[in-house]
Amino acid sequence: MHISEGVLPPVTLVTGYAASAIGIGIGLRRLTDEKLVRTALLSSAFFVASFIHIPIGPANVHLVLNGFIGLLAGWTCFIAIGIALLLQALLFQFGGITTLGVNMFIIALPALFSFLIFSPLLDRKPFPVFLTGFLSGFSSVFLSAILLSFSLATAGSAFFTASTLIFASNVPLMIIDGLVTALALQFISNVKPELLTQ
Amino acid sequence: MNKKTYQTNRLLLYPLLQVITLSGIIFLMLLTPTDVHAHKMTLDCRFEGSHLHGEVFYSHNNPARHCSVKCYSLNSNALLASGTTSDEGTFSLQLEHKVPLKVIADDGQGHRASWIWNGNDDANDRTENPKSNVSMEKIPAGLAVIIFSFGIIRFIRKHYHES
Repeated sequence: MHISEGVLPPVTLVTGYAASAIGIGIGLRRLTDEKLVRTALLSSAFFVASFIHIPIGPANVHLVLNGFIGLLAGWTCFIAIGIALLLQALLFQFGGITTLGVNMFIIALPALFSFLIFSPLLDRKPFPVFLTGFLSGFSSVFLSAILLSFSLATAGSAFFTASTLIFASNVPLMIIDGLVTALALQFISNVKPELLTQ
Repeated sequence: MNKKTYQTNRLLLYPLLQVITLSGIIFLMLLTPTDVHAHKMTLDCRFEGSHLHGEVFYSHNNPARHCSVKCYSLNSNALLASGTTSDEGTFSLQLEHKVPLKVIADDGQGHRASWIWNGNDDANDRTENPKSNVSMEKIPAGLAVIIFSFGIIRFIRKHYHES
């Protein structure tokens, strides 16, 4: 999910920064003192989760957890994910500074989607928390893959080819992210359910 | 079913559900082959006669399979040779002339790495993304900066509201 430097055209890079700036702006307006510590913790969790490599067959993947971040952070997910991505780019050269806006948008928009769609389900509990968590984690990575495919299509890659490759290789990650999100939400629901309400 | 039995069953159900889920995750990890790799792509090349041999890999030295590799002249930007990486992430390109060049590897999923050779055999070859694993010492530093950043946001917000 970290697009490298030099892959995307300038128009996509600028659009990514502009779209992410809107998300950051709204996030800052909604960042109350009560949410500040939670957002900082989620930013830290996202930063660290990317270093947890899970071996799958001969290769490995890293957790994204944008569905989890979105459910708990709400609109401030752009801030949490943006700061973590910036540090990953600066300290570890994951992604890059020019692609930061696009990378942020690709990961944070599905997180926001997760918040808008699945958070009401947590409040009213029409679905089991575990199922809500799984759908949130799965769909967030799925949407990120779609946005990644669109971004690469702007660089001249054939959308169908790029998306087929990305989806085929990310299906295990969608399932694992869904399961980890589900387990984490189930745990929070058992021990501190008030964290799940915005 | 009385209330106590129901609560006991619920208490037993959650750990059972979690054990089943964790088993599922482990099963997926062990059995599912995939080409997903994380983060940074690295390219390393060397000359052997008229052949340019190279290796493309991701973090933790996982080979980058079936990546597109293109070799351009550094002066004219003309395409000199192209190919794809093997299952081991290696490639070999035959070059007609040994001129200053730039090699770009792209996996089609947003990861790209490049290698530049300026024509000097001694010191001018350069891997733009040098081979390295994640430096674990930087992770606590990153976490500290995140906490510091939110402290700054808190400070600015408080200052803004007071003024």
